[in-house]
Amino acid sequence: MSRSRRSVSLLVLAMVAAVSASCVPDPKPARQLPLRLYAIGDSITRAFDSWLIADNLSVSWVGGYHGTWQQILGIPNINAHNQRITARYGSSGRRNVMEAQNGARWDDALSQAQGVVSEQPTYVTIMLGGNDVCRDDLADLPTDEEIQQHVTDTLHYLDAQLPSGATVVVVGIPDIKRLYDVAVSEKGALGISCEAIWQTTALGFPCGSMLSPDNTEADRLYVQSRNQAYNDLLMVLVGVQNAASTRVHYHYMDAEQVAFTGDDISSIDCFHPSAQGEALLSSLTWSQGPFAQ
Amino acid sequence: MLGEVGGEVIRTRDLEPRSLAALAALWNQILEAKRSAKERLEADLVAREAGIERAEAAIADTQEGLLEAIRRERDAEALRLAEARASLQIDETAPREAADSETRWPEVVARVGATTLRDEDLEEAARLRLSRLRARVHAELVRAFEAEADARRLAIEARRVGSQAHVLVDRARAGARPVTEAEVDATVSERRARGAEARPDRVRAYLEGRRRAEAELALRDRLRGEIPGRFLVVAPEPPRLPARGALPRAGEARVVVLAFTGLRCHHCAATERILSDLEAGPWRGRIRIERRAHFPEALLPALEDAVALRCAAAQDRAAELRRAILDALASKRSANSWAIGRASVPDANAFERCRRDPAVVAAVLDERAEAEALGFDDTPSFLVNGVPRVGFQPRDRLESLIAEALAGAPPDRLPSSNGEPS
Repeated sequence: MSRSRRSVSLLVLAMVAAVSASCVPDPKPARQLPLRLYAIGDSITRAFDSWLIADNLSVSWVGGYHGTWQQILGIPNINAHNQRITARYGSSGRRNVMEAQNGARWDDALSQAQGVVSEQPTYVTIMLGGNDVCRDDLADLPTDEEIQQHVTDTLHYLDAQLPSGATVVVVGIPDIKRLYDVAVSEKGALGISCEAIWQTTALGFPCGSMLSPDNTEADRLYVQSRNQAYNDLLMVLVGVQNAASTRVHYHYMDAEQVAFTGDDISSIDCFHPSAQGEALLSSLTWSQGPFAQ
Repeated sequence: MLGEVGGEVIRTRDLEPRSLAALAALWNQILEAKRSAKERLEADLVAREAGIERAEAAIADTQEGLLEAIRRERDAEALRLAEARASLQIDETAPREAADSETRWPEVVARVGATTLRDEDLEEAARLRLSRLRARVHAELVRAFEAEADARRLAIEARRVGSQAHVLVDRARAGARPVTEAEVDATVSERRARGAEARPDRVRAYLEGRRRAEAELALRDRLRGEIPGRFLVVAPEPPRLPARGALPRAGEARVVVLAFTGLRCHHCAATERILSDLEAGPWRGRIRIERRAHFPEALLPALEDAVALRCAAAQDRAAELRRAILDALASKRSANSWAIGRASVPDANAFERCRRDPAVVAAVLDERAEAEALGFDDTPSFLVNGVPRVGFQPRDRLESLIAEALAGAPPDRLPSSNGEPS
């Protein structure tokens, strides 16, 4: 769908959000400092294959850190949200909880959120949906209704369980077609072309819905349209929840327009963000967020 | 100007914001690559001007000792370079950064003492990295130009028929042939037969979405035929790298394959089998294969392999040692290349003296540094008559590279030997 048509659809949805907002005149409590950080997400948040094979939590866009060992081992400093919080507000009272799981989808969000009861975070980030767009089969992408249900359930749960004044940031899904378009001429592990690596989607390599060499351009455009539709839904649902809540601050952050280039994509699997890509995500999401000023 | 469509000019500034952001990031990466090359070259010039020689580190017997010696050598070298730099006159000219193109560097970027550092020196030093980045810039320009050209064609067509571009697109999508229950059922059955879950609502959404996308693509294809466009930016040529000995010398083989490799990685072992076959195969005499050490910094056994191979080569036993190390690795036995090396050469004492010689270790490290400077961030990597290939090359790809190089090479300087391909 073209951007202009999406804008028209979004206008309608935004009007729904505005009506919801007008029904809730109560002001929210003051925003708490983001000292207790809690990350919900998938392999992007765990920085899978971003530097070395498997998880690289130190270069996660949100929970990353850069201590002595990272310096000695030459692991990049990506200036994650966790580091930015410490730099700005100090290390006293800090928590950095990583609940993200590889392969997680929006239907896993509620279970990942359960830990907030004990952790009582003041800053929750959610970046999910990549694995809803990236399915093994093109004909297996969730419907809008399913995504809406999972998002609403999760946000309602957080609203009930988080301390007053907490902040929830929901990051949109990066444009997976852009990932395909950029990486299709790149090389992955051992110099093997990304296209060759993606041929293994038939053997279980993730994201066959976008990356399978059997897909046509129309198939990829269909998946991109779902990618856009999920993001439109996320933006509106987060807006509605923010308007309705009297306790928690909610923000949606656009990741669809992130301009990934070749170096931002994992040189191991041609699929996940590289450490540089995680740094880009951190920078863009932080700069759009409420603690940037 | 990037090109034109239907008589309308498309410039860089017309491209969608995300592509402009990507281009800006890529141009910045090019700038950083050249800055990094400049730093390296300046350090070399400073060392040369100040007469700094590579430190002769004492190479200890133990593995840990060897690594420590390398580290000490590097630290000492860095200190001497910093001192020399402080005492030298260095004049630099800053590049002019541009918002919508690659940064322009002055012809002379620095003078270090009596030596001039030129832009072409930076280009040469970072050639592979720069060529990759420029290829990405070109690919981004092609993608963004095509998207903008399609948008212009839609706008032109909309003006022609008195409508709006998005109306044309919506009309095309709405005109897509409807998906029938029978089609949904057939797809569900086919998916389930393959073991997929295949929910009918999701299957229907996919079939309808794909059909609408096909209708939109058909509209764009029709307009591409009716309203031609031209993209004017020329694709960058694949680079030829200025490695030492990368091209055939007069009177020798027509194609030189430089393999920057080791023995310890899975693909290195496979590469070694391919290289050995090529050396013994029908191109013998027309190609020369030279192996240079390239391995991850922390992989000490690979460094020991390279030192041992160099010392075995001095006694004309490199091929035998290479095979022996690979055999040991393949059979999961301990592959101590120094022990295997001692047993593989006629003069074990000379081998021992050689492997303790700091100059030999330094030569190996130089080869690895050369690979890094060329931009080879994967092991193995190759230069075939100067044309780089990063990462493992399957046998058929390496053979086709050599065949291409042979086809483009000057006529044989050596008489053909029996068994060569015609």
